[in-house]
Amino acid sequence: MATSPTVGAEAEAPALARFWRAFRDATAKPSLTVVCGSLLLAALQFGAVVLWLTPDRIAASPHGAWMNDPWDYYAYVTTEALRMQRADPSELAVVVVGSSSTRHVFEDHEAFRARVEEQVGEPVRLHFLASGGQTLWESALLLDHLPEGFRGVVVIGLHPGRAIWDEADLRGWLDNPRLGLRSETTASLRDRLGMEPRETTGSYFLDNIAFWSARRTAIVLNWIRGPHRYERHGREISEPPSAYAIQLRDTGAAERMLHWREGGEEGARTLAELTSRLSARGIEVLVLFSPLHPNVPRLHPAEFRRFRDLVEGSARQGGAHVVDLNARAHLEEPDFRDAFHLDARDPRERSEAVLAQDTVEALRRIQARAAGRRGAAS
Amino acid sequence: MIRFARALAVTLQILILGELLFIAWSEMIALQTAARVFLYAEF
Repeated sequence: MATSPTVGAEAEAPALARFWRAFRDATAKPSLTVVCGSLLLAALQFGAVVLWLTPDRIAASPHGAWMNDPWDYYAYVTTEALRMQRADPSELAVVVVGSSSTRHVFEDHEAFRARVEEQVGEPVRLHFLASGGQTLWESALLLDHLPEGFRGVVVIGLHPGRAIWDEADLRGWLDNPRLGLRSETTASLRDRLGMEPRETTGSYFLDNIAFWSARRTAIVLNWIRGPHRYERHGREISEPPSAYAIQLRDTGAAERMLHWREGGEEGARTLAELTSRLSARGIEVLVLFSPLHPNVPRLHPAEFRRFRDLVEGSARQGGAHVVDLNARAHLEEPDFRDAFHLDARDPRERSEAVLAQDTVEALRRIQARAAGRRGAAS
Repeated sequence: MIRFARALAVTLQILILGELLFIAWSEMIALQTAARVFLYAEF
């Protein structure tokens, strides 16, 4: 005999009600299992991130996978430095460090690499490590990641504002690094500034947790929707100049230049040590005076002369070559957007051509030395 | 049925609380640092 649907529903209702009651009671009741289980799950996720986010994985993935947005040059530079550390050191390479002022010397750094490679006649890698506001000490941190036996040219871009020993500024980025990297440079700086040493944990992620925590949401989204594209020219170029930028241009970046009235020795000493260390490894070093609005030397002639003399002296002491872009690329007022940034394609291409010429010459010196060694050995 | 309901309740609680703990932990680190991380420098 068939039961009616109404009778069946009446029979199931108490079972569902019992299920719901049991579920609700279990949810409301404090449970040691839930507390321990939740802690264990959180710890497991934490452990998974520690194991997953390794320098090898970062270096092997596209830069854009780790970037907050298309202008996150700090993530780009961190990824590129880790790639550089793992690259074949026997292949010729060019490394560019510096601030956004140096970054905007290039219209297209891939075209720059291709041009250099063609003239040198063998494969050349480019590690483009220039990022906004990069201080000389951050450049040194990046260059600590050059692999053993590195064969190539290092271009150190300098402008008066970023080679200043400013303790507050240095403490700021040592506490909250803009780059996901640590090295001898950061350890010795902490020591000099009387800051607590930071123990290394053996885990890359834990050592750089602040840097990666700031990008956690973006990284998850990038893995879902694909990596960010990379914008060659920064926001400081794509957006109208800020009032501050205009003020800096019109006052000749006054507060930055005033530092060079008496100070500057610390920056000069760091540059001399850095260039000497690189030259001793057989690396060709180009110290680049990055573009500077003509107002700067015009309004602060004595400070500018002192900056130039100190930097040139340090470069000579360290066996580096100096590249003066303002003079050699004939950079004039209309070429500038503000005190430090080139505004248009034409001045950037002129600057890129000057730098390419000096880079090719430096690479040829390396090739000639290698040929000389081969000749002596045979 | 009752045992299944209890097991389901405990599992869901572990998943939700575990996830919330992990998010809270990462938020805490990010709040301590990200506000001070100088992501964009003009020069």
